[in-house]
This record gives sequence, C-alpha cells and structure tokens, in this order.
Amino acid sequence: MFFRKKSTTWLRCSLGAVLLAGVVGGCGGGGARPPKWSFIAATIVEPNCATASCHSAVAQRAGVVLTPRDTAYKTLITRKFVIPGDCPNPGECQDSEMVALLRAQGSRRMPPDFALPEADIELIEHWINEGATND
Amino acid sequence: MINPLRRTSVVAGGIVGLWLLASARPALAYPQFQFSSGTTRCGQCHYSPSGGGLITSWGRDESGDTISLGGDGSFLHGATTLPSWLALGADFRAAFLYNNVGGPESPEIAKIPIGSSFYLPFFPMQLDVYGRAAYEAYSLNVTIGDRGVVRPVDPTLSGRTGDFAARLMSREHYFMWRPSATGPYVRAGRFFAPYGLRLAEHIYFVRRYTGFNLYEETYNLSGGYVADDWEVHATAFLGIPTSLPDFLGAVGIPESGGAVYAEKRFAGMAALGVQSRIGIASEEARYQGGAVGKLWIEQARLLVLAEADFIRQQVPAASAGQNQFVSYIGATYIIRGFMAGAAYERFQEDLAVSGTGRNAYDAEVNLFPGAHFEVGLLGRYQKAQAVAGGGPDSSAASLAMIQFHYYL
Repeated sequence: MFFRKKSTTWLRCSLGAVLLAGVVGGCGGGGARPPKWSFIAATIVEPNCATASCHSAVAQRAGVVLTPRDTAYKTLITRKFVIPGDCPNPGECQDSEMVALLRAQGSRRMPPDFALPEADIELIEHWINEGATND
Repeated sequence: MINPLRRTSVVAGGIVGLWLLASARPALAYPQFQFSSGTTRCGQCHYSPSGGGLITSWGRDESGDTISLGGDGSFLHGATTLPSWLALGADFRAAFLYNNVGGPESPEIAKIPIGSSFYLPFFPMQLDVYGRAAYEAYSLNVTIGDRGVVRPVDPTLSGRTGDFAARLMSREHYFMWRPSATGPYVRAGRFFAPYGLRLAEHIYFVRRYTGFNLYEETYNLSGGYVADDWEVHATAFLGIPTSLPDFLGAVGIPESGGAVYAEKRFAGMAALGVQSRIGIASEEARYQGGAVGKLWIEQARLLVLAEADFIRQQVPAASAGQNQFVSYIGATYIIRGFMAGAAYERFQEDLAVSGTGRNAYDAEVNLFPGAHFEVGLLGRYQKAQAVAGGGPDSSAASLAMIQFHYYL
C-alpha cells in the first residue's frame, strides 16, 4: 500500500510537470513565424547548422561560422550565401547559395545529415525576398 | 561553370555530414545499466553523482563481473594499483560509419588514408583522458580529449579541425564536495547539468534539442542529494562565451539559467523522474520541462526507457516564439556481455506549424566480450513529414555505425 501511495504521488508530480511545461509552452502560442533574421537564426540556423562539428565557432567548417546571430548574418551576406531580394516565390531563388544548399539532394544538401522542413526553408526564402535584413 | 563556393560547399557537405553524425562524444554512461546490472544509482559506478565519465573501482569491478563476459576491469587491467586519492582512465573509440541521405553522392563511408592508395574504413571517434584527485570529501575532476576526425581535413577547406592540438579540449573540469556515495554533494565547474535520460549518443533528439548536444556543457554550480531510492539535483549554469579559446570552447547558444532533475526509484526496478530547465540568452530563451520513466522487467531481461519534454522557445527580438515537443522511448534486452535495443524518437520543431515533425527509429547492439572492450553497432533511420525538395529521397536518412571501444 505504501509503495502504491508513493508511486501515485510521483506519477502525479511527473504528469504535473509535463502539463506545467505544456501550459507554459502554450503561453504566447506559436502563431505565424516572422520572416526575421533574429527568429530564423535562433530557431533554425543555430540549432541545425552551428553544431559541434560543423559551423560552430570551434569547428568553422569551410570557414563558415553561423553563430552568434550577427556573425552568422555577416557570413551569409558577405560570402553571398544570401542575395537579398532573390526569392520572388518559394523555390525560385536564382542565386542564393544558402537556399540552393538547403534544397539540394543527397550529401551536398545542408544540413547534410537531415533535410530541413519545407516550412523552414520557405520562411528563409520569405526573409530573403523581403530584403534579408538583420532584423 | 560551377560556382567555386558551391563546389567548396558540396565537398564540405559530405565531410560535415559524417562529422555531424559521428564526431567525438562525451563519455556518457549507458543508462541501460541502471537496474539491469544490479545497481540503482548512476553514482555507484561513476564518480559523478549523476553518472558519466570516469568510473569508480566499484564500476570497474562490475564491468568484469556483471556487464562483460569477464576479465579484470581495473586500471591498466590490474597491472598497477593507484593510490586511493588518485583515479585515472581513458576512452578510445574507432568507428566505421555508413551514411546515406539519398542522392548521387550517397552513401558515404568514413575512411582515413594510409599512404597514397590504401584506406582504412574507420575514423578516430573519441580519445578522452580522465583524472581525479581527491582529498577527503573534496575532489578535482578533469577530462581532456580530442575532437574526433572522420576524415583527414580537405586542404581546400578552412576550419579549426586540422591538427590534433587544435582539437584538444576539456569538456569537463570541476571541483566537488561529496562526503559519501549517498547524501548531499556540491560541485562547481564545467559539465552537463543532470537532466533527462543522459543517453550516450548525442544524435538522439532528447539530447540534441534540449541543450545537451555535443560540447554544450556549461559552467555550473550544482548541488543535490542522492539516496538509495531517490535523488534530486539542482544546477545554476552560465553559458560559455564563444570568445573563449578552443580548449575551453563550447557549442550552442550561450544560455544561462537553471535546471532541476528529481528521480524516485521503486523496488529497484523502476524510476520516475521530473525535470525542468530554463535557459536565457541575448538571442533567445528556452523554458522546458518533462518527465523520464525507467522500467526493468527482470523476467524478460528488458529495460524500458522513456523521456518527453515540452519546450517553449522565445525570441524577444522577433516578438515571437515556438512550442516544441521531443520524446524518446526505447527497450533494451540485456544479458551479461550482450545488449540489444530498439527505440523510437519524435521531434516536433514547432507544434503550430504542420510538416515540422520528424521521426527516428534506432537499433543498437552492444557486445562486451571482456572488461575494457566493447563493440557497438548502431542503425538509425530518420523520416520527416515534409522536407525540402519533396522527392522520395529527401525525406529519409539512414546511417550505420560500428564502434570499437576500449577503456583503460
């Protein structure tokens, strides 16, 4: 009986923690994702590209550093991975290397281990088409 | 005419892909050994109260007596005896890696050249050296290692992975006050805050997307209490600036904040944990919480592990945020000298945006032919809901890895 009572308490606590996180997570809602570099850098680029062996400060693969946000922006613009205004429609970026790599097939694609969701790439294209500012 | 930048990027892509999947990992323990080996606390086999890293004399004995098929698990196979205040160790892993993401360049196999025409289909995955010096209840614990290399560096690519010295780093170094194996402890320094299942492989979603990816150790002030059937750990942490030298370098957005993990164990066969972490940086903030479950079914020699986390990521500069979900559930069959398991993972990047989920299916087999030796096989298949390109090849990726592990 003692075991069962304590188990129930811990089960309730666990479920409570998950629900609390869910409630906190729900605050503010997801909503439309803004085509802003500050959002794209923090939610897409840094978690997927600036990883330990790739484009982090300690690895700098191919000389490309995609963290922190301002450094990443400068890299993408100065090395012409991003051409502002280059994406009139989703999938129609003519010269932006970043989008070409994100949409490539096979091992040339970035990130090379797993493709980004289409929604992420379209958000990046939207940002490029709106001028690709460091906002 | 191929854009030189694109050609460089294509070459880099292949290398980076293998690197991403298989670079050196922290010497985390196998949470699968909890309960299944007769021990209930991670700190029984490891000097760290939350597990991982250098193993204790108890753990070395267990490696020969219950985990592997036999042998002397002592330092240097028992050839010498260290004074009681000193503990040393090392881990070395070499790995074969097959990586297939579709497309004409796949699959790729990691290899290192020997001479001009001969290749070894392996790469050095981990080389870590551990040291611990103790005086009564106080100890200094240091790990120094070399970041793994899948291939020799392509001379056409720049970067900081070129030579052994440049890749040296200390991912863990901390002082600890811990008067006994159970009871209170305090430690300060660099390490992973206790959180989640603490799976060995950093590619698992519950590590990668919760702030515990490779080299994301933070500087912490951490304390807790460990009892036979419960434990609690609380950690305040500071993100590591990217301006630090590579030897102390870190990866990830340098968040500062706190983490709490509490675990209750039941009858030496099950555990339930709750956890929360808040990390705040200038660029973003993450608020996350979740739960961990562990169940050992003795009759079937089966251990079930599960973790689920909700994450709220807020980006103040964009006045926006997203809600994420990440989970893991796996079952492992364990007998002496052998371990085989399968797992399912789920990561939802933004719960409000369809098509941003991905699934992963894992299979692992580990052989422990003798103390100090391990052969590990990992197979992983990932599938996304909707990805770039839309072709059948672009939505899936698979890898296979064979690790040969030796610890000193």
